[in-house]
Amino acid sequence: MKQAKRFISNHYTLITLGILFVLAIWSLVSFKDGNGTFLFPSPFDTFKSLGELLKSSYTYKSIGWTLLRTFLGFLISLVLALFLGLIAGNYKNLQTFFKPLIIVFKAVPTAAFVYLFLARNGSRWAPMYIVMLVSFPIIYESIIGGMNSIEDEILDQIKIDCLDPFTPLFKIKLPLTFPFLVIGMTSSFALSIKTEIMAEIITGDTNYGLGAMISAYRNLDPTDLSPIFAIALIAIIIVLIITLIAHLIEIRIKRNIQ
Amino acid sequence: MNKINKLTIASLLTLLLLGCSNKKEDTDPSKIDTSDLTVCCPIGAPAMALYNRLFSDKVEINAPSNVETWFSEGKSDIIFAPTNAGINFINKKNANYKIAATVTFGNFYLASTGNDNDGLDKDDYVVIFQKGNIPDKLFQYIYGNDYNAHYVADNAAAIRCLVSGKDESNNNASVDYVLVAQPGLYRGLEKNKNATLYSNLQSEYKKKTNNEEITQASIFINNDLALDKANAFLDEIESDVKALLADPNTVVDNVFGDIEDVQLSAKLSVGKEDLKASIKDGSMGLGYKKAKENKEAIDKFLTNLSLGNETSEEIYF
Repeated sequence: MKQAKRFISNHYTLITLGILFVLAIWSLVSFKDGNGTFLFPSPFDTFKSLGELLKSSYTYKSIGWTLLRTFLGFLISLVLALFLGLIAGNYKNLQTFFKPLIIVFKAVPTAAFVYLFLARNGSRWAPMYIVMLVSFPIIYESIIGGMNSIEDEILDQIKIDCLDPFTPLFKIKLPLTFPFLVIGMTSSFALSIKTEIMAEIITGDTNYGLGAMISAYRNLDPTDLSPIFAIALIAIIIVLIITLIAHLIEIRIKRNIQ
Repeated sequence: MNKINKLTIASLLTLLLLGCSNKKEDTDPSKIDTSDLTVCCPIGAPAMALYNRLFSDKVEINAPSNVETWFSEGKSDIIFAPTNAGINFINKKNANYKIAATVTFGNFYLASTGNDNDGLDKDDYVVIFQKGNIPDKLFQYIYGNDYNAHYVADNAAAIRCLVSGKDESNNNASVDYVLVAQPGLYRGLEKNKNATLYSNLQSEYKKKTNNEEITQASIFINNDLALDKANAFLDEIESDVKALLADPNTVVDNVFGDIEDVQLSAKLSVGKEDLKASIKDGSMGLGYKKAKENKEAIDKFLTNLSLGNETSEEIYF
């Protein structure tokens, strides 16, 4: 009995059960909608399409371009957010000063900027700027959140022990902020991938990219949605892998801090 | 000394003659390099004329919604665009372009889903894509505007209606007829065995206009582009189109042999086999006619479909 209970509460068992639950719901919905791959392709049709997609070099080039633009946009956001976040986290007045700007970044409809970036940067690079727009406020706020969560006792100690402002910033505050930063990066990266694919579709780029692939498959056969579901599955797998890597990094950092 | 002078003069004359012959070669349009020209073109039928440079870095094939940006920016040397849109940008927004040639002469068809067997009536449920644009105006011009028309966003959505016989955007209402464009018509007819081709709108338009053509999409040349380069580009496109029309199988196999169907579909909205078939039977509407020589057809196309007014000579290349 105890063994059965342990098996059910096991982390990996729960994840497997969760995946099976998603597949069951998916099968049920596709079965209810019927009509083969026309409306809601079944997991079987989707995995079959995924197998076909993975044989094509176009798929790998598209994954590469989507990841390249996402990473570049994300990296630029990270550098900007680190720079502004560390300064604003250190000086409360500056934090208040930046607040309206961050609210604008968070609230502005992404689609409104798509056309601006499209005109300025062309369809190939416009999605990268959209990724920057979306990921920057999340990373910035996670840094600010981390900086604000540092205990007052530590801050008092820093004031007594350190004369220059840079040593405690990089050697004490930044490491303490790191777990928050990793969480912010993980959640914003998943969002960045989604944004990148959406922006690729809106900008209408016809070269390489998962969004361009979705449009191409829709043009090729608008009545078969299974390749589109398979592309979505590829995006989910990429996000899962990156989340897993981020999770491992987080564990390592926590261990190092302890 | 005299001998030396004679030799010098002879050498100079030879050099001069060589220089002249080189200059002559430069003005020959077939010798002018046009690969550096920047070209913008919407996805679909017009892009077929560009098949030889479809995957070039200098060519941007993108969604039709970008046409306005291309004209207003004026950065591209050449723009392929719906004829009415290009002319309107030149006339109303002073776009720095001139119309040079038409490359698409209509690819619109009315297909029956199989839900209606007694011909097109006023109360039949008709699905049309792109409200207010060429397909819609063409349908209204040929059949009138008092039909039970329902609109969907694009050709892909119209093809879905043709295959299912239902309008997903209107509570799965039963659809009788669907207006579709050729990159995809074959796919629709293949997937719905009850569907049939009801009418070819190009032929219907010709019947109604005393054999006029639908000048659907044209090439627009930037006014700042050197004349010889523009002419060389147009000559290339003309010979490419003629070669494709003459032997679609060989050309498609040679040019797109290593390209996957989906990659081609990103640019042309069609795979290799459907492309060959639709070029062969002329259903894609591909062709090449100098705009200046076809002014009357362009004017009638614009005025008949209420897409614009008669054009002035100044806008022709």
